Amino acid sequence: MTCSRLLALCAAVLLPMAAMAESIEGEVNFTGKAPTPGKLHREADPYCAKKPMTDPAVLVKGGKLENVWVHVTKGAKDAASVPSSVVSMDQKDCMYTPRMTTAVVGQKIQAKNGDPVLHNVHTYMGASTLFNKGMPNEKAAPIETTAKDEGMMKWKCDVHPWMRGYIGISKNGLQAISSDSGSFKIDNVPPGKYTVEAWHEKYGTKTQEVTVEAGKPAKVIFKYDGTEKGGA
Amino acid sequence: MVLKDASGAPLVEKKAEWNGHSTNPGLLAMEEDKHPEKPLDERVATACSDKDTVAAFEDAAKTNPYDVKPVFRTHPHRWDLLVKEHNPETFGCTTCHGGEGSQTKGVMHRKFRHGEDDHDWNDPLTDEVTVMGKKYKGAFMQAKCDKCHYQEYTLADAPLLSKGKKLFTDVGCWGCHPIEGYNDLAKRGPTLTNIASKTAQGWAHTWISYPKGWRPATRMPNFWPGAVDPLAVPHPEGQSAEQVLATQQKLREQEVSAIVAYLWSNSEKAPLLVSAAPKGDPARGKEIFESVGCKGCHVAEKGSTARRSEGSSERDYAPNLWNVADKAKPEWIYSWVKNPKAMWPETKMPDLRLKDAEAADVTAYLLTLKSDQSYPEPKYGAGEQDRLAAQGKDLIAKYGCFGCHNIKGFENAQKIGTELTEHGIKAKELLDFGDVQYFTEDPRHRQTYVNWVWQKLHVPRTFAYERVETKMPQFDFTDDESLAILTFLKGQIGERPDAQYLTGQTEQQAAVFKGERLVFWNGCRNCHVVEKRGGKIRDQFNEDNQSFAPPVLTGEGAKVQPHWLFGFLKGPFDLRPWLTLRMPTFHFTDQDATDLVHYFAASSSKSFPYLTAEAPQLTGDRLKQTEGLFAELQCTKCHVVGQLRPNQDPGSAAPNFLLAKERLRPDWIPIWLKNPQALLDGTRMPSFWDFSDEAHPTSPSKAFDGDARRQIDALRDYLMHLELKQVPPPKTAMRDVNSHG
Ligand SMILES: [Cu+2]
Repeated sequence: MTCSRLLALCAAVLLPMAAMAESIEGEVNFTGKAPTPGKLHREADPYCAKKPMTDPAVLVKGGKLENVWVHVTKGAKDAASVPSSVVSMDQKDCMYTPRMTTAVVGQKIQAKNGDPVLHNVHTYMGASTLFNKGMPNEKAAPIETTAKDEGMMKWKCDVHPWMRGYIGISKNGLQAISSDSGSFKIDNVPPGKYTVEAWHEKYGTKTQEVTVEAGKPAKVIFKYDGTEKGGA
Repeated sequence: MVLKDASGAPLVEKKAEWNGHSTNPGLLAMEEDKHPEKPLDERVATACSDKDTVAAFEDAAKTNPYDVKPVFRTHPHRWDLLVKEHNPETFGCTTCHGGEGSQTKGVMHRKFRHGEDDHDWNDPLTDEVTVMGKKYKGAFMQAKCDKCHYQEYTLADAPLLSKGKKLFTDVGCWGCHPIEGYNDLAKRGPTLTNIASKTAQGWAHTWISYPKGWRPATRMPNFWPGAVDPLAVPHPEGQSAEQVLATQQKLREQEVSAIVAYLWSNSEKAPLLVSAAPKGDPARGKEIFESVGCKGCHVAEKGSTARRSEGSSERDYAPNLWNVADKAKPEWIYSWVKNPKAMWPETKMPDLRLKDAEAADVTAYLLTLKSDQSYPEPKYGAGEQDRLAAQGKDLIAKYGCFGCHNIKGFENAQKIGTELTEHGIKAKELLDFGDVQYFTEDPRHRQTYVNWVWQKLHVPRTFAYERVETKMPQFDFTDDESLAILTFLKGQIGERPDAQYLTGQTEQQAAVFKGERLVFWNGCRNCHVVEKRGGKIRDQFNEDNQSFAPPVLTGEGAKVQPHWLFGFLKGPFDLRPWLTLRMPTFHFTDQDATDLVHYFAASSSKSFPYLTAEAPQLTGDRLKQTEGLFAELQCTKCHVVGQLRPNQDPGSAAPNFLLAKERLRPDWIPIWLKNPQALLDGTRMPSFWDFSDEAHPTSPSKAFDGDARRQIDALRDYLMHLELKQVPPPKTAMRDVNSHG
């Protein structure tokens, strides 16, 4: 069956969809030599020491970079409606999980402690502290907060300096995190011109302009070579 | 300045608030309550005697009750700065605007209302000033602040005056110019009584000839500006610029040789610790230099502007060391870094308590910092040095070198410059414009006070003529610097209003001002944030290693016990031994240390001397519950008890609990525990309790029936009596700090 035969039907189905939204998809390539993740020094806390870990700051597999926050910084017209779901940032085995996720301004964020040891949740926007709360153990009441401003919300534990978490916060909700294959997909993007920014915790920011046309997903490839500095 | 107490509440001397003349019914009602006997309108008239102006007030008040005084509309921050702090009913207009008493109208044929017409205050009620034809806004209003605020170094609303005062102090203008309030400062430049132990004559010759040529960000001025720029001196008739330059250079060569000869003939041996510097490891020395705190004050990189003085963006706080080995002898460097004050008692450089081996390493490193410049030593014929030295003595007397340096033979010499105590009201007729005519040719370039000062600061020899030799050296002040100094000078009017108008009259304010001067002079803010300002060295740190940075000393007086702080200032020790940075020993006198302790207490509105606050010893069930709570909150995950725990990352280490009972004010602990971020923004200390609803604070623990306040009080009492035996001792030795950069 082709459209020429059922032209009326095709138009009826395809056109409204195209006018509504496309996607921006692509991947994040890592062209340099991938650093070998170092062993984390978790010996100071006997509980954390039970589970040895390597540093998950730079995760490269087959030349693809994981945990890059890709988001639309310019060109989006509307603020996204605030999802009713709660973004969770948990502390498990003396590490934040997930390492990186996203939230929309206004969305609820919850932090739990799944460990029987003290963690303090110290969050930052840039260099400014948002809050710093102690959670002595898994019985501690979860911390409830709301994504307030756009930007990268950093999570740190001062007791265990290796613990890091990241929540990318945007108003327009046009954002994604690169997967372990380096790929990302931002859905529901109306046709138009956009500035897309990639952010990695160690290698910082890259930007690209992209035009989204009706009827086909826009492709964006970001490249890091490992010499970049930035992030946090 | 607004002082705040530990809780952040402003602490200000209560002054009568402006109770103006508003048609705002609320304000009016308030004021009627306070002064029912005196109609508001009358009180306005006493502030300004000008009836027209008063009438204008009335008019505007009808339309905008908050803008009650149109004449004040242009006042910056008029509510806070004018109405609240300087109520015109109390201070009048002329306190700040100049002029006589409550006079606002022109007197007889004189055209001015406020201000001094002969001082080029071109628009008497504004703060604009025209210098060399260019208008500068904001300058001269600030000059007047010094009348009452003369004890203060930093006035938030008078940045130009503050800058000028700091620059004036920092550059050492008072070395030559007598000026009340600055006369007893220690000489600004290094002692020259032992110069021969420090450097060689060849280097001194190069340096004295043109200091900025060798170190561009130095404070030391140029005494032979014509030898660098022939336009810096008046030209004798018929001489070309080349001829002037050649003459000036020849003169400089002779004069500098003579001065050097005198200094070396009159130099004693410095109390060197060694006759030759012990061998050291330069790489290790560099590491020490970069980690113990030298970089709070010094840079060692050609052209770096990272450590400028507080009063000037042009001048380094302490010497840039990139070419220090050209200058200082190895045995001097070693002895100096070991104990600077032994070599020059008035130096600002503190003692970093370097061990012999560390000092040797640092010396070895500093000796690698040299340029490829050469400094030929003078060769004297028989009797020549004595002959030159005799000339040198006269030149030192002439140029007043002893104003900044201790020099043998000039112990009792008098300052050679003009007295500046009343310079701000000096009539222009008393200023010598010499043969300089060009001011009068251009109407914008008039013979005015400001033009004279401006020119004097920029090209000090400009007014010299046949009969009058000018001796002021050239500092190469920028326009910014000149405007700041001009503002400061304009404020020197030799007149103090009644004590009731002056700041610094309460014990608390006096202590703060006195302490601020010590903080400024000793450069505390290069490393520390002191009462919300400073902390330059923090540029060496980021959020990952901020726990290695020097502590923030805002609210320190509310935090620590005075006798502990006194002891620490007198003999600093490694409060956090896992840090590489060290609090140096400043060898403070008892008086200075007391004044600093008083400063911190006063800044936090705490009593001084100290009053013991109670922290009862825990016993029985209260003790048991507190021990449980202490364990539950896992405070010692970060806080050290005696020393680092086995494998503890120094980056996560927090202050030693065993010091608490000697160091902390017990009344500070609960305020801190309730909300650490409120006292120290960004601190790694988390909050465990949520006091956002003060009536029902929450706690993560069930101890004491989950009562947050009882828990916090119990922890305070526990800490104030904590002994080592109460906590399990660490099992292994402390981990190497450097292995975890
Ligand atoms: Cu943790």
